[in-house]
Amino acid sequence: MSREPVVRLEDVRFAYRDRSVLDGVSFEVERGERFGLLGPTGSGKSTLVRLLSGVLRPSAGRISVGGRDLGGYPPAELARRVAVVPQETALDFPFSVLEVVLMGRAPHLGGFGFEGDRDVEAAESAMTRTGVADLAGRFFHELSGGEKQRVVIARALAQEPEVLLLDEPTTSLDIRHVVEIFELLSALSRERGMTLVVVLHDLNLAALYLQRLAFLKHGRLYACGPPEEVMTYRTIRDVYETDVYVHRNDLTGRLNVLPLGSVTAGSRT
Amino acid sequence: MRPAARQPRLTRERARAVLAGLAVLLGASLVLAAIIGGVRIDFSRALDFAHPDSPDFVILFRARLPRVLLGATVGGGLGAAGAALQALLRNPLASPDVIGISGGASIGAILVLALGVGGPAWILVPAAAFAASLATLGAIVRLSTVHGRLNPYSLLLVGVIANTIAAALIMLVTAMVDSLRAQGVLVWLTGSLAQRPYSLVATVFVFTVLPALALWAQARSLNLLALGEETAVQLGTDVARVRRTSFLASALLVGASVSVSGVIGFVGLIVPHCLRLAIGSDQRLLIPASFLGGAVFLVWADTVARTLLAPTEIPVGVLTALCGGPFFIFLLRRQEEGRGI
Amino acid sequence: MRIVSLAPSITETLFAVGAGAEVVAVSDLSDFPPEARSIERVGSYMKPNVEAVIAHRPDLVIAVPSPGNREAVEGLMALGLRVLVVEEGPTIGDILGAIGRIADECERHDAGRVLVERLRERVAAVRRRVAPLPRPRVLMVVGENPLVAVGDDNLLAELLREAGADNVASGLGRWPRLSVEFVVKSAPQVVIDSSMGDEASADLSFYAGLGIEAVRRGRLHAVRLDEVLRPGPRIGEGLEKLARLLHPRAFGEPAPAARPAGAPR
Repeated sequence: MSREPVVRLEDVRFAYRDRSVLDGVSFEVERGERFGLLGPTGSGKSTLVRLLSGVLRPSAGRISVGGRDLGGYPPAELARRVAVVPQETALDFPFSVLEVVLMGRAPHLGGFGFEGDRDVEAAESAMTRTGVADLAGRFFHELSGGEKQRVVIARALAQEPEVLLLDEPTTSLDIRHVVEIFELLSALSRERGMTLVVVLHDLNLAALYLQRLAFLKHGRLYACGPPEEVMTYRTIRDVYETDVYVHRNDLTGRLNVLPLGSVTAGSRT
Repeated sequence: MRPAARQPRLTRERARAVLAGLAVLLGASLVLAAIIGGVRIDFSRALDFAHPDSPDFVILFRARLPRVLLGATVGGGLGAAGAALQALLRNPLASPDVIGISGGASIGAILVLALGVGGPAWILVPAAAFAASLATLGAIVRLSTVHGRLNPYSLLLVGVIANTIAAALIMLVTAMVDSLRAQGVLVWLTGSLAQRPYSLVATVFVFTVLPALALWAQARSLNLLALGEETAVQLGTDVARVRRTSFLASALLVGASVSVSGVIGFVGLIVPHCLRLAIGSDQRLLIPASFLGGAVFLVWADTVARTLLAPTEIPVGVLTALCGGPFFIFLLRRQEEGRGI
Repeated sequence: MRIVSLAPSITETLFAVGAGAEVVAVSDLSDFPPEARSIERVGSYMKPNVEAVIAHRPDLVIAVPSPGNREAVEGLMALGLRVLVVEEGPTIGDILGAIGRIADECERHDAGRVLVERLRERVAAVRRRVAPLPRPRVLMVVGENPLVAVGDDNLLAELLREAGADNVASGLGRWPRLSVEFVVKSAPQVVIDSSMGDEASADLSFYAGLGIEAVRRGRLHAVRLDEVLRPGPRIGEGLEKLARLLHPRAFGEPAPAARPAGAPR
């Protein structure tokens, strides 16, 4: 893995009207890295995804992708470098799975073009990779949640991006599909050296699959580093304002986090 | 109802084949609709260009043909506008009349018609209708946007209110002018294609085809909007520009059709909806197909309107509303029951 | 006697029988005779204003039956006012009957009888004059876009018949909405358009393109509807006016000059 930052944020600030959401956030994500953005609801994680994908512009500070300032990207060119997998995708109209995946080719097509062989190939290989090739002719809105999310990942892959941004990609899925998706993402990162930036609520999944984590609190970066370093009782208590038990899982060798609630040793009766 | 297996994607070849088929259907409909009428004519005399004064010639070329052509133009415009508005507003129940744009446009047209504003009516009425439809569309979108998102039910409700206000304003205007004018305005409102000269048909044709082409050019971006605005941006779409262009073009289409034929409802709802079930949701095909399909639909609806009770005529808008109203309720029920889109 | 008239035709009748000075209020559009224009208004004949009527402390209110004024009329009756409702159609006989009743009610029996007799004689004179003449095929238009024509069973239909017309829209209902195709096919020899006011204000260019005989022979006329239709004492004039349009030579008018189709006024 080269030690070259592909995403870089320098003192990024953002406010909706007069409500500050991000207040001076700086970090770098290296090429090929699996990077996690964590923090409680309202800490600014989703805003960061919007900023990184060009939907919003920072009020101050600099964001660059591939060494180039985001402000200098034409929208389609940014879309060829950064793809986003949202939490959930609801389609308003009946589109087939293949059609949805082909929409990922949009940044590669001209204004009115029909997709060529190269585009269909990219879509089909993305569908094969995420295991939805069989569903090509089905209607997207008739699929299960897990199938939908794999189709959306295939759409993002069809974009052939350098960076994949995922905004809580497994929130609405059951545990089997969650593991399926994260196994798939890890494999993609290993095989293709694709950079992943994942917004996540589940601390255990973060420890299991991601290489570096950034904790956000009230729009500021609280801690940033490998799970081994930042996933401590203190950090989590400070960021989430909740008492937890952090321990090492004997089977995976990774850290696990358990909430304690009010049932702590001291309060037992 | 819905085809279980179908072509999983739209290819250029399939788009061409479908459009060619619809074009042939439209051509045949134009010819047939010109042949069918409430009054029998002798075609050997009707096509005798040496005697353009014969009643048969006059009926075919002065009464029937301009009307058939206008029906095709207005129907095409409403079909394309319906397809684009549904994509743009992310609502399969949207259509110019349902969400109130047609009503708004009619206020503009009526003000000019009823108050007898000085100047050339052929450009004033469409211009007023266009301005009013654009203003209504803007107001409707703004009012039904909640927290930056278009709420589909707010959209329908705001549309109902917009139509009610339009109806009230129209009654007000007609109450203020003399009864002869008022009656003309009210009848015009029910939507009719009769008695329009070729010059008007040609004007409307231009103001329909150009915006329809502009919508077609946005087709791929409109597809992406179905994924949500944010995703469309993330796929490299300039959403603001697409929305601006498409709203303008749709308002032009509605303004053009309302100014010449009053409010002809439900064409923009039924046609794109049925076509979507048959040929898929891809706007690159759906928009031009809705244009051709809307043209075919209105040509036949008007043929029924002018022959059913011949020699008396039913306003074609009454006919489309009679078919369209129940259809709309059916769609609404389907959507409520979660049987999708 | 203080009289309130709730229809323009009633106003005309009241003046014609010499009761004009007793009329204290009239409905909108009561524009004949000219003296009627300066009398106070109490709403349209479709929708009279009850309070305004009461304010005039009338001894007699005269109205025509209409779905629009029913509530108001019943309201006035319930208040104990003397309200006369006269049916004025759909035949000329009905109109004469109504004139007689109005005259009786406002104590102008003799004036009423004379007026009715004179009107009856005028109608009979027209009838006698057109009886031997061939009846031209006539289309009378009352609404434009869509075209609404005079059909059957209404006052205008009877006036057309009495004036010696062969109504092409007969047999299609009372006020049929016609297609342009039908107008061309029915080949009217005379077209009377009352949808756009008189010759000075009407834009008859629409008919020019139809290639019908009426246009080619200059037999396309615009009339003001209230002059021929208003079911009051001017009905005789209205009938004569129609008959004159249909049979110009029988009434001593010059034969209509054929003007090219679509020639500007």
